[in-house]
Amino acid sequence: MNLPPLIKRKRRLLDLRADIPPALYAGAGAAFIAVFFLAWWLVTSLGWVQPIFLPPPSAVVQEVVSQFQAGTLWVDVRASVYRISVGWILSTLFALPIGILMGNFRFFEGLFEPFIDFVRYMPAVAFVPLTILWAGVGDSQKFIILFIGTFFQQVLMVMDNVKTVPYEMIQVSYTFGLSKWEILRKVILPAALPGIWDTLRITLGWAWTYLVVAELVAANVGLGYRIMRAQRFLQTDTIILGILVIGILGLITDYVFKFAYRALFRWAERRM
Amino acid sequence: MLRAENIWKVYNPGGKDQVVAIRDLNLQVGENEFVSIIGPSGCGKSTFLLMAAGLDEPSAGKLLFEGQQVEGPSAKRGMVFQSYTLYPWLTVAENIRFALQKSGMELSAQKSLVEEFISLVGLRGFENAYPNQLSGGMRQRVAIARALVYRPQMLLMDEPFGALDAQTRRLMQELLLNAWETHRTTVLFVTHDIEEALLLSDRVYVMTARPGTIKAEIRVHLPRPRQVEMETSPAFLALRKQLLGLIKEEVTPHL
Repeated sequence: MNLPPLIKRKRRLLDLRADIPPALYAGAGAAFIAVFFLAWWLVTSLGWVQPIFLPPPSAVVQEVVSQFQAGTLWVDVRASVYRISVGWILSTLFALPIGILMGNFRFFEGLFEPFIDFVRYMPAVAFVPLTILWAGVGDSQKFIILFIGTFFQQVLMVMDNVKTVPYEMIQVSYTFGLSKWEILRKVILPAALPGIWDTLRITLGWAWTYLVVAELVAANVGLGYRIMRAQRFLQTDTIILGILVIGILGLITDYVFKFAYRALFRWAERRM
Repeated sequence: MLRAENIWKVYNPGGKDQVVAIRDLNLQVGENEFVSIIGPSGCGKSTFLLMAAGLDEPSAGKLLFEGQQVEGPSAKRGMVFQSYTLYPWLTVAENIRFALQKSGMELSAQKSLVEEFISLVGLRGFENAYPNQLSGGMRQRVAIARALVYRPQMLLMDEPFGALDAQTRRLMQELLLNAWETHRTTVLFVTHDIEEALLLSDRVYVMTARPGTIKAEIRVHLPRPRQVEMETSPAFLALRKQLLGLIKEEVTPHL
């Protein structure tokens, strides 16, 4: 088709909600991270801050190499990933059925919600001394802290995910002759699943916080433990490495969940 | 086929916030008849439709379907809502086939039936599309096909075209007329659009403002099959004027 001479669209970078080229979007994110590391490198190499408070990036790189060779990094990561997996899965195993019941039946909502709201405001950190008395300093104490920190938020979020399924969708399903259990299984669950998946992703991120809390106090291995021990010897490079590793692990799990979401719930994406 | 005798719906009876939504309502719908209920918003017409489906209960009165008290929903009475009730994780074809799972039909028979109804509502080529990829009018066409495919004895429609723009609405009315001519069934149709009610129905019930009850019953003596063009005929216009007057009396005092 013969087009008339086209008017060149003005590029408006900062219009409200306006789209920008994808390359610019991704590039800006990468550039910001680069600037962050550059600033870090600058303030340390120019001697503006003492290495004891903020070591240069090179010291952290050296620390990676030495921990890698000594094998401690791998041991810590493995211990922490194991604890977070068990604690989070345990919480999820309880939160899913209870949250689904609460979202569908007002009785269960009335039964559990006041108690959950009550416990939810208790800081998980405050349970650390108690859990050590209960379960000692082994892995099970970490699981309990992770459970307390995760479950009470997760269960309410699952309940809300279930409640987003429109009531008319349930009503119309009755008119096809389905029983309420069939509707629960064949309609409500698949409809709520993308939301639940996002809840799982978000709560796994929160679980990292509680993991470090649990490991800071009573542990002899794990990323949180490594950070805590390094503080005693003023090894700021070790501390920063530990924090960075947790950030990277969190980022990886987040992206795994996001990619799986796109693969599992293609229907949930808007394409028109 | 459906008979409502002295139906009442009262919320919080005896309480300070008691609301009488429906007051002593009587109506009936015959076999293969297309009947509309028209009335101002909040008059209880949608509530009555839910009762007819078995999805809500009257506070008093008798609601009979084929001579038997309506108790709970069943596959005998299908429903189409105004809001989109398609299952977003299923394709167009899967959505329509979902309604057949209790039919006891073989899969191959189900599939050919689904294809037939996809053609009926003009969605050939969209079998494998997900609801998110469809326009509002297309989604309601799927909803209609889904409600017709399992052959419920009665179809209850709650302002199914209420969320659509005027042009799409006209096309959908023609499509529904055509589908109804092909697969005659009993329809109870709730709307607040006078032209829509007249174009589609054999009879129109007019409801009063809340507490809603039947104010008038109008027989639509327009020949079938009908087309949208009939809306300019003198007979149509006379009926329209009559209905408009009845509705106006109900709406004006509440403005």
